Amino acid sequence: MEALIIAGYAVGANKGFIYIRGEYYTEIAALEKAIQKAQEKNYLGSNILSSGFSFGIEIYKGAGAYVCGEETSLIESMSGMRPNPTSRPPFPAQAGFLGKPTVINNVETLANIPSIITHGGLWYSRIGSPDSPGPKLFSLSGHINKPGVYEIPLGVTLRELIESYGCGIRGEFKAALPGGLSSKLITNLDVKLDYKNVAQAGSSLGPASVIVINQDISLIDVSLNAVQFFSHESCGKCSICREGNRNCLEILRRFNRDTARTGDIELILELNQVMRDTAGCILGQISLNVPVSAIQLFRNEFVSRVRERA
Amino acid sequence: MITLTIDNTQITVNKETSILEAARKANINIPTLCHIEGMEGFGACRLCVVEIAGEPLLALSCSRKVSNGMQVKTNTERIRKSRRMIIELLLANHNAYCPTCERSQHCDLQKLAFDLGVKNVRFKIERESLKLDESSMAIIRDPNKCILCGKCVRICHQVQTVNVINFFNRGTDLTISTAMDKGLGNVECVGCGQCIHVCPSGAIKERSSIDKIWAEISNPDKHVVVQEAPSIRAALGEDLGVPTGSLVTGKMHAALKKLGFDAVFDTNFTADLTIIEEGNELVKRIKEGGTLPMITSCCPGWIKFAEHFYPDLLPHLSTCKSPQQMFGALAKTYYPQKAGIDPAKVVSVSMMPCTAKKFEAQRPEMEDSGFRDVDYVLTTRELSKMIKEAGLDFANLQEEKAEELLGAYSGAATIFGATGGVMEAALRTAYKLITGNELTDVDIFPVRGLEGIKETSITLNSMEVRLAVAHGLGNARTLLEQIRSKTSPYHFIEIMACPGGCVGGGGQPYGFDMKTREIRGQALYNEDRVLIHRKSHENSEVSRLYQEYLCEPLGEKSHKLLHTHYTLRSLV
Repeated sequence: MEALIIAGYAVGANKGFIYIRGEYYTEIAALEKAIQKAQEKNYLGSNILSSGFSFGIEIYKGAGAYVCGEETSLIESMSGMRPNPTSRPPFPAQAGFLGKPTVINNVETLANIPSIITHGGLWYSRIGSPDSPGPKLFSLSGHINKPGVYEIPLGVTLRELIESYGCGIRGEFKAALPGGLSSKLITNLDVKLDYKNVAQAGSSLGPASVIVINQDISLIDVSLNAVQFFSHESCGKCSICREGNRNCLEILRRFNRDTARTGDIELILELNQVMRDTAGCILGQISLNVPVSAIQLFRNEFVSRVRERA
Repeated sequence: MITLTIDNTQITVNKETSILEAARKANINIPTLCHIEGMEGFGACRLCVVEIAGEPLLALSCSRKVSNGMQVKTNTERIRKSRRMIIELLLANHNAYCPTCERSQHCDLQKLAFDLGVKNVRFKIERESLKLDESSMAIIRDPNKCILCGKCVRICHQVQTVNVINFFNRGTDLTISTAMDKGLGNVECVGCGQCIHVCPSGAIKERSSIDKIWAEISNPDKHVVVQEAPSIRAALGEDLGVPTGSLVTGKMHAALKKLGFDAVFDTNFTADLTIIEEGNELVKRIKEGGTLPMITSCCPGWIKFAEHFYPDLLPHLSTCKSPQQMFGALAKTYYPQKAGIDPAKVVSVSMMPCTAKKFEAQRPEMEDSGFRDVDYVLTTRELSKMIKEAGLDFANLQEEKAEELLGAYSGAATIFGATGGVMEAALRTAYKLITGNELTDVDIFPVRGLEGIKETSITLNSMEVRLAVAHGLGNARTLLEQIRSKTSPYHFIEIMACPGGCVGGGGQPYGFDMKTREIRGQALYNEDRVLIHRKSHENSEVSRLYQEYLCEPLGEKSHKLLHTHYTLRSLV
């Protein structure tokens, strides 16, 4: 909240919104209480602490859809529409909520602001790796002895994250998704987990939702799981995203049932290219990252499941 | 103005132009399945992607506005591959057994698959067939053919403001449906059928009666009579080898006789009759202080719209039945009496530009003849199909005339098919009724054309009578809101549900193209211009009907057969 007020001051806005899933009752209650308290102390409201600056915060409860994390989709949702992402340009900073210029940031990004202002930019830049400084909330899950959310400086290696914080892998390490289902698989445990190094390793850190996969798991199953997720979470508006996910899921099911055909591997790769080129938002563009990276890194798992139909 | 380059062609356009529109001006047709001309880009089909120099991703040409110096490529290897794959994906999840599809040869998806060189479909979705929405008497929706482009949704919302269909669910569960999946027949759908025109595949179609008509025609015990709406004759030829804008009245009558109808009459006859009744009703309302403005009641889509959304304004509607229903009532009373036929054996069929007429014919009150007044309604498209099935060389048919008794018509009747036509026809007769003199200059240009709302006034016996015409239900709302807020300056209003009037009806040859609608309307005005009688009260067969059967306009028999009442309908 503090950061939101500061951000409003920085861009000259007098109104901020917190978009939160409607089913997060406890969190919503906490926010409401905090807003009320801040108003009582005039940290919010008109002429904040006699500074001449006025700012109000409104909570918007979303109906809950993954795609609402996409900024244009979030704006549509707040406007009372179906949360379909809209075409850019115009970008939200040009014409966003109610057609007005709108700055949209994740809570985690904003949460850094007060401490940067308190301690200075130099202090902040000394945390983590020089290329992407700062702390990060790593959400560690998968075949991990102690899954959870850990706040660690960026630049920690995957190995260190797993061993020092997650208390090691259950089973033998096979691969990891550093940025959740929308990122590509990596197999190198010594990758430094910051934006630049993960990108160099061919993936993306994104929200740092690290999913660890052990040797017991087929990457076809992981791919199926990922594409099933995107099939369900796509808004469905773009033909390429909706039908691309639907058809990729169908192909992956064929691999799963040992009925895949020669050419199915290439078809997934080709489909991925068209989805990247033509999908209207990031969700459609990255939907096939898991299967595509699985094919790139573990092609044999796929090849061995190809059975020509008579 | 903005200058950009599209495929090495330099073009200068207005800054609000999209790349897609700019390309069309440069004679490059970028393929699309979801764009509606004149509307904002929607971006569902993704086929219109183009490459813009300096941009890593493909850009969406329907939504992207032009900018100075922009270098656009519309036909590269990357684009061709993308487009083909999108079509493949759509076909994989589409009932693509084209030969049996209503829309075959008029299907944008089929055409693009062919034009873009899609040779095989490498994807295949195994799924159960989805249930058709057959709840409406007018329109059937087949979700198995729906490609979810959203055009029907946008026409229903933005043009017609009826809002009965929308997207439901998300991702691969996305569907288009009605509120709570009730089906088109159980919501406020007015049956206008504009959604059919914009559908790029065969997902929406009229409820067909072709097979029933064939059966009635082949039944020797039945006497099948047929009427054809004014606007049919300006559009029927389009799918039968005759150029757009040709008036095919004579060929149409000839074809109907060859198809085996026992008596071929003309709805234009009852269009003239409607004017006599409605003209007298208007004069009565003006003279006796009745509810004004009076609004025309020929259009069944508009009637149902009023019943759902403006029930408080129903007293403003003329009580006259539509020409179709007036004809139906006479076809089973006046006609059999004159022809010495048992009315129980008469089957009354109408050829209409309209899908809502199918609903109108089934309204419970429409049996004042003692029978169902109109048994079957066929659209222009269905008639065209029957003509093809019968193997008639339509373009070369010898012209014939409709039969006497219910067949003659004036120029005033024929222009019913274009927006403003009913108003113009009514004025030609109302002038006579009020002033006692004949209107000498019968062309009333201010009510013609495709302007959404047209208005004019005419002085009758020193009284200024103010008039307005709206076509498209979105435009109608503007006039209706004025009445609701008691600020309407008008005495008489014409409303037609479809943009362009009946020439753009939901049963006409496919396409939501205002240019074509204008050309069809022009054909009707051309016929009006050359007819000797251009006023409804000059129709001698109508005069004979009053002399020998009805007695007088608004009389007892007229009241029973030619007038109706309306139904209060709730919102879902």
